[in-house]
Amino acid sequence: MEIRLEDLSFSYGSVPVFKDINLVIDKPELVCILGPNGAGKSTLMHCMNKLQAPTSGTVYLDGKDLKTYSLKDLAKLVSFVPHTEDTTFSMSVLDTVLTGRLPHAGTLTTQEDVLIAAENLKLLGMQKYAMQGFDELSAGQHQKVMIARSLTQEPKLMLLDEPTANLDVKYQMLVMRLLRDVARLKGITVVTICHDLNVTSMYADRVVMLYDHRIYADGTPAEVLTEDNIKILYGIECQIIDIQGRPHIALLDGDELDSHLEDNLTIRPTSGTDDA
Amino acid sequence: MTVGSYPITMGEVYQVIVDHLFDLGSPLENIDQRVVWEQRMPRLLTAVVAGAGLAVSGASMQSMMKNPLADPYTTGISSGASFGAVIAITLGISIGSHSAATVIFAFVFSLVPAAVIVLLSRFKRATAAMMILAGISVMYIFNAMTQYMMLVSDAETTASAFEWTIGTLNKASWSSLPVMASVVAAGSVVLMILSRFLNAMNSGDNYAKTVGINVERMRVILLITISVVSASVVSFTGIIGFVGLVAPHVTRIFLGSDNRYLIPGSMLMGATMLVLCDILAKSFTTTALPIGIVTAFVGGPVFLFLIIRQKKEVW
Repeated sequence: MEIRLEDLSFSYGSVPVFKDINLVIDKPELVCILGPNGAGKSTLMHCMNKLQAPTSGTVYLDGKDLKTYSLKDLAKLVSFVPHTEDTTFSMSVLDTVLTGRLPHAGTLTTQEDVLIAAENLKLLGMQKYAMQGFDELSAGQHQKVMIARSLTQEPKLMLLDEPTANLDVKYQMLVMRLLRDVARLKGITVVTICHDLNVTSMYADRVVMLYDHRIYADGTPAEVLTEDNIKILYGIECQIIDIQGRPHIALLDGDELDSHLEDNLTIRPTSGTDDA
Repeated sequence: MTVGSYPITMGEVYQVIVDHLFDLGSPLENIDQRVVWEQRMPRLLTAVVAGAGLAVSGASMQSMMKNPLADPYTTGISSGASFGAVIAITLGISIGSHSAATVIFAFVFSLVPAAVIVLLSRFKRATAAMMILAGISVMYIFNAMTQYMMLVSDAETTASAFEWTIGTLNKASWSSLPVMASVVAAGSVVLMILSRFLNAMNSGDNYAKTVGINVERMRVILLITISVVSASVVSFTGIIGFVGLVAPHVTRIFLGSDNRYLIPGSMLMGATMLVLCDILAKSFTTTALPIGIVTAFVGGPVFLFLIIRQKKEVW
């Protein structure tokens, strides 16, 4: 599965979110998108699965313009894990996960559908919650169910908007490790928005940094996660330590943080809200 | 069917029904025949169909709007129907017969709010909030016009118009049943087929789109189906409140929120509720209270009790 963004721009009215982005992701690996709040990470992701239409530029999926895909055909190839889940009437965990079969299924749920759902719940360690109500779970468990559901869709490309946001350290690592293995072993391209630099560094095959309306840096964690880049992206001093062959980022508190933060206290265009 | 102002035993009821179904000669007196077959049978079946129709509309409306307060009338169907009926009654319009005119006007006007929303959806995305707000504004317009019509007409007309808005099974007859039953049945089949899409939409519009659902178009299809089903019920019975709101919630307590079970389950629940309420309506008074009053008066406390009792958080 190859996804190619060509000269992609997006703006809300006259407020630009990003401009002329070119990006090719052409092999099954774990790609992490990093960037400060409001950099347009979610919007960029929404342009990759038709949730939002870019202002200009084109997205190609396997060489075909994304616009030519119907939502249903796209759903067979690309799955999405939203940032948050807002259910009103919640179903059981298993039934929630089974909605992931929708693009493939006929009218009735088959034994095979249930087996796929169950297998993915097991993968996330959620099998014992299968018959519980979705709303009875914690935020972290919600996230795991949503990932299981996304896998149940059996996509070629998985997009995730901050899948580790509500997870404790152990599950952040487990989920990122799982996503890496999904990419490696199942041949699925996984693109995820991240905030934690160290977890990203540990598991990402490729890191894309979004800053100043463009792709600021793109490469392996070692190439991209540098003291300079982090200073520019977030305005924070840090020290990079090499651990297990990957950069480990120790963030430093300091006076320059104050001044930098103050400089940056201008209001930026918000983007990437779920329903913008 | 034994309950009512005219006493008939269970055995006699069965005899009349069997006689009719198998076309046997009847040994029973004519008046029993007529009460059972011409009055109570269509009334019972109307209660079943109306209850099922209102509940299936309510269940899908709540799931589609993701709003526990939604009911078949949320988008202004009831106010449209009232306005249509009140026009027909106060202006004395007659199509074939006077009651036929009332039914037809109620039906046509109850679809107006949905039509307005469908039109709006061409200019603005059909989100749940947009639909509810547009429905409410149309509702206010219709209510204002209804109130005006009632103010300017004489007391007797106003009373009969008012009575219509309460909802009653007193006008149930064999002639109205086939139309209502076939629309409710067809609509329910459509809603059951769409129930798995409703399940995905429950997780939010963005997610639903990424499993291949054109969410806005789906909402419009659902809205039209729900409107036609509830309009077909309302135009014959008037506005029977509460069943469409509560039957789905009661069903959720027992079956959960999976729309594949909720929708057919709600139909059974709605039919049962309306039949029980009708029995109550007939037992307490000789004139048979309008059922709209009974559903609300009995249903309210029962539902409050269920809200307190139930431990599982369905909402």
